[in-house]
Amino acid sequence: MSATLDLVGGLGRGTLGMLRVLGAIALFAAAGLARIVRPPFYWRQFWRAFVEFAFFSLPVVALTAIFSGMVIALQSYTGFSRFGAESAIASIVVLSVVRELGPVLGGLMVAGRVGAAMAAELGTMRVTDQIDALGTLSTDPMRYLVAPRLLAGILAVPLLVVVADVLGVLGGFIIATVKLGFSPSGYLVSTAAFMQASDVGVGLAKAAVFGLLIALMGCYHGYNSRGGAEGVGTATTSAVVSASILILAFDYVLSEMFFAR
Amino acid sequence: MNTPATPRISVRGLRKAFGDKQVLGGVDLDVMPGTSMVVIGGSGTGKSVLLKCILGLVEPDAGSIRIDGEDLLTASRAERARSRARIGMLFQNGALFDSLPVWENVAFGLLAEPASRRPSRQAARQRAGEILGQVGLSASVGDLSPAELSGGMQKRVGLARAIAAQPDMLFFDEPTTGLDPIMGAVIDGLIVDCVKRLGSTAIAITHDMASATRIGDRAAMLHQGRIVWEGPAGDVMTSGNPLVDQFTHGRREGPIRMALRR
Repeated sequence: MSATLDLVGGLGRGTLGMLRVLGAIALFAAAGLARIVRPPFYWRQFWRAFVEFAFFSLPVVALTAIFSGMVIALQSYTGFSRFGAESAIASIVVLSVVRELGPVLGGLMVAGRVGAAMAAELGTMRVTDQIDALGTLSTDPMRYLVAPRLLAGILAVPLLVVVADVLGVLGGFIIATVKLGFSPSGYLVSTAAFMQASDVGVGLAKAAVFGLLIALMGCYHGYNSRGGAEGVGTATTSAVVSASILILAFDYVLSEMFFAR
Repeated sequence: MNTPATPRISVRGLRKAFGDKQVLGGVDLDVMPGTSMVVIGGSGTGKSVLLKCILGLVEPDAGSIRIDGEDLLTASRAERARSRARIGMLFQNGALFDSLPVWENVAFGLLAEPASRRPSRQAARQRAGEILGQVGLSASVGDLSPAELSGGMQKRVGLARAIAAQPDMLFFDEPTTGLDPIMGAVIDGLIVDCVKRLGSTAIAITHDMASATRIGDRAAMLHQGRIVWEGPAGDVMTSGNPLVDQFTHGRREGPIRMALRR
């Protein structure tokens, strides 16, 4: 009986704790987003975060995309050739890349790179009193540190995903034409025939949401880090793990919303 | 209404707990205009929390904080921001923004002013050079990043940043911690000069008795979340209060140790 009560109590405490964290994240997000639309806005901070997101993440996202496209082409050929459906490879590659792999893999890579850096930077600022110092200099830390990063995430990740989409399709094209013997023009015609603007649009909308989630988790965990170097390390790990999980969870939700028939 | 008898800063019954730990248990403290108050006390007695409560960085659980007679805790957000904008703060480790060069750290408060009062970046840079000169650094230091500075230089830059907006209140959180005695004396001298030049009211918290007597006009000791002694800073070594005597003379035996054992 006592063990059952302990279990129920533990579950209750865990649930309440989780709800408390979700509430805190929601309030943090609302406070950050509200400061994007209400001036003043720190454009220099925004530009710095935007460059970090969009420019310095480009190589890792590009490599991820091109290899993903190559692998999809190769694997789908292996499967489809058993049913004589090799001609569907172009459509599989373009739909997979544009709808899912571009935004999701791009988002995951950016979460590992920029989300971690963001949490480490804000966490270090927190434990070295730099965030408190902002408050003493008539500067709202949420406005100065968080709002520009949230906007940078929302705008930069879709741009990265455009590049990822192009390179992912290119990866599939290279494998299909060089290794699998497809005609280049035929492959491109098939790709163009199956790619729809709505697929690209939804992929980019997903990317904007993922960019927000990456910046939000990086800022939230960094901003609230405690306890010196160990706290900063924990914040960094939490930012990457939570952003990755949220990207996958929101990918399902958004796919359900936009693509479910 | 501010009269000569009105303290610039008045704290009454200030309480703050973190979880089960009561850090401030009803602090009463007055600081008169133009005077420097040094708050001494052991580690973990709530000295930094007291400063952060006055600065609005930590929300107290109870009590009042008055600046020129106006209670910050019941004031509107705008009034609080206005009062707190009058305070400059030197943090224990400088708390310089490491993503910005030194000059931008110093001029940060100036560049954060509303657009109507904000100087151009060039004017702010020139002003930062002048302020760096006031703390004994050459203007060329402004081009360095905080990571390139020694501990003493970081403290000076932190002091320059604190005085840049010419605040009429200055707070110092352990200004000489981590410095050698000579550099500590230099920083104390700069603090005294800056406070005098600006005519500011100052609160400094420190463990360093030499620093306390150099900076302070008055001193108060915080112990177990309460002010247990207050008097002229020159009397701090001969206060006759057993808690203060033990702390200032660094004796192992005494009421503070006994209190820790309980």
